[in-house]
Amino acid sequence: MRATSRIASYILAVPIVTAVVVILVVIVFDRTGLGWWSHDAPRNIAEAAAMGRAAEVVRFLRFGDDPTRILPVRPQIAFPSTTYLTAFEGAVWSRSVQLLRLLEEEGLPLDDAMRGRLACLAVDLERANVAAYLAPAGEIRCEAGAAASEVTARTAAAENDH
Amino acid sequence: MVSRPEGADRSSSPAEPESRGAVAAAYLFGAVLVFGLGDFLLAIPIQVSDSFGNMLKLSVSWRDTVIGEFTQHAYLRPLLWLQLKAVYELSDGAYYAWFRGTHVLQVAALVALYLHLIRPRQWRDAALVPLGLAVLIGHHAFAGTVKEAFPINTFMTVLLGCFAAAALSLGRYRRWNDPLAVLLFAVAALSVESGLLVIVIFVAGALVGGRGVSRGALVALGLGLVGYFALRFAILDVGGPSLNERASGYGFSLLEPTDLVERFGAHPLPFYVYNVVTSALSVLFGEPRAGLFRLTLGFTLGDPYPALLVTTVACTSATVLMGLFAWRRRAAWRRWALTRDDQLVLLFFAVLAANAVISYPYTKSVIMSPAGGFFALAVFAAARNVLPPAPSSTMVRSVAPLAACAVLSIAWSVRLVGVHVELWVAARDVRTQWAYVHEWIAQQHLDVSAPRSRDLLQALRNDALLTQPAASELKWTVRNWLY
Repeated sequence: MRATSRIASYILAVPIVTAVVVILVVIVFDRTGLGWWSHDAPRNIAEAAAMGRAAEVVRFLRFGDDPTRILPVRPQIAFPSTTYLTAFEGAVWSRSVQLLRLLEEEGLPLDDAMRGRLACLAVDLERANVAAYLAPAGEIRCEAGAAASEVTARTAAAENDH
Repeated sequence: MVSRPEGADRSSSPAEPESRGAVAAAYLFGAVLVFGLGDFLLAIPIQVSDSFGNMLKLSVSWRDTVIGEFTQHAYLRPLLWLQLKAVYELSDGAYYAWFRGTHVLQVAALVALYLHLIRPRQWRDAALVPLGLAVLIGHHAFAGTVKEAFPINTFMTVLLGCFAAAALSLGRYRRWNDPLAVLLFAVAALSVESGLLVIVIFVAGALVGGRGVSRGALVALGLGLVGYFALRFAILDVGGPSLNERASGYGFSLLEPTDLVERFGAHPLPFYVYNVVTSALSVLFGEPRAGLFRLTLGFTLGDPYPALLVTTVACTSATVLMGLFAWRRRAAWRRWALTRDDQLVLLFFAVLAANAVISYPYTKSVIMSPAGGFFALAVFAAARNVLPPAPSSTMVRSVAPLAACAVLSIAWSVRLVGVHVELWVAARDVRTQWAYVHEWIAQQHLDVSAPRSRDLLQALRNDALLTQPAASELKWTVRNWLY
C-alpha cells in the first residue's frame, strides 16, 4: 500500500513540478536570449520592420534609429541570405500598411521620390496592398524588377566589402 | 452538523502525522508558482483597450467619480471605480508599478487563500498541492483573470471575494467575521454582477456545516441582497443585459446581436437555458467554451485543435475524479455527515450552479472563474480522498489507476504552462496595441487633447514600449499545443 501510494504521489506531483521548473527556466533563458521556443529579437529597426514588430520599431525610433538608414537584416527574416534594407523597405516586405503609416507618423514623412521607389519595390515583391497605399492614384511608373535589383545589388556590394 | 465518519476522511489519516515540513513545502511551492506567474504578469503593460479609456475617466475628483457611478444606468459597479480611483491616486504617476503590482498581489493572495482552504497538513497533502494549484491556475476560466485588466481585473477581485467568503464561512467563528462577511458581500456585489456569488457561498457554507458566520449575519446578507436589487432596479434603474449588446457562441457558430434578436428576441428562454447549461459544462469538461463547441467541430472536420483537446482531457479527468469521490461518499452525504473535503466539493457544486445561472444573458469563460476556482478546491479534496488508488491483485487494476493519475497530472501540467504562454502572447499583443495607439484613439473617437490625458497617454505608452523589455515572439508550434 505504501509503495503504491508513493508511486501515485510521484506520478501526480512530478509532471507539474517539472512544468513549474520549465517556467522558471524559460524566464531565465528568455532574458538571456537563448530560448529555442521564440523567434530572435530584432537587432535593428530594419529587422523589426521586416518582422512586422511595431512595438520594437517604435522602441528603436525612440532610441534614435533612422528609418531611412540601410541596415543588415539577417537571413530568413526577409530574404534567404543577409539583406541590406531600410526600415521602410522592411515594412514593405512585411506587407504592413499600418507599419508604414506608423513609420511616417513617428519617424519621417515620405517624400514623393521615396514613396515612388517604395511603391516600385512593393510591385516587384508583389505586395499589392502596400503598393496601393503608397500610390493611391495607381500611377506607378516602375521598371519591372529594378527596385528589387537595387536591394540585391546593395547586398552584393556589402558582401564584397566584407 | 459536521462530523468525521470513521475511515472516510483521509485528510486526517492517523497513519501519517501532521508535519510542519509538509505545510512549509506546500506554501513554498505556492510561492514559487506565484513568483513565476508574477514575472509573466509584470511583462504585460497596462492595456490599451479597457484600461486606457477607463483611466482617462479617473482624472476627475473623488466626488465626481462617486456621483457619476451612482447616477449612470449602464452598470452598477461603483466600487470597481472606487478601487481603480484609489490605486490611480496612490500611484502618483507610477501607473505600471501600482496597477501591475496590484495584479501580482491579487494572485499571491488567491494562492494563499487556496492553501488556507485546502489545509495541507501531511506529506501526502503536500504531494497533491501541485495538482491543486495547477488546476487553479491552469483552468481555462482562470486565464481571463490574469490575461486582462481594466486596469484592475474585477473578475480576480470577485474570485478573491469568493475564496475569502469560503474561508470565513468554513473557519472558526470570530466576532469580526460577521461584519467582514457583510463588507465582503457589499464590495463584491458593487464591483461586478458576479460578485453576488459571495452570498451563495455564505449560504451554502452554512448549509454544509460551516459555522464561521452567524445566522444574524446571514439574515443581514439576505437583506443586503434585497437592497442590491432595490438599488439596481427600483432606484437607479440599471436593467439587465439585453440580447442586442454582444455576439454570443451558439452551437458551432458565433451569433451576432442581430442574429440573436432575430432567433430569440421573442422567446429568449431557450437561449438563456443554453447559456446556463454550457457554462456549467465548460467548467466540468472544458467544452464548450463561451458557448462554442470548437473542439467537437474540430473533430467533425478531422482536425481537433491540440490545446483545446488538452483542456478537455484535463477538465474531464478531474471531473471523473470528483465523481468517484462523490460516489464513494454517497452514504455519508445522504446522512449529511460531512467532512471538510465533503464541504469543499459540495460548495463547488453550489458555486457551479449559481455561477452558471448568473451567466444566463451571455456566456464567457472568465465569468465562470469563481466556479473554476472552487473546481480546483474540489479536485484537491477529491484527490486527497480517492488517491492514491488502493493496490489490487491484478496487474491491470493496479496499473490503470496509476495511468489515470499520469493523464491527470500531465494534462494539468500542460494547462499550467499554457496559461503562461497566454500571458506571453498577451504581453506582445498589448505592446503592439500601444505602438498603434493613435489609430485606436481615432477609431474610438476619444478626446485626449487635455494636458492630463496627453500626459497619461505618454506615460503609459513609454511604460509599454520603452521601460519594459521587449517581449519575444513565440514560435507557432509552441502556441499551437499550449494556447
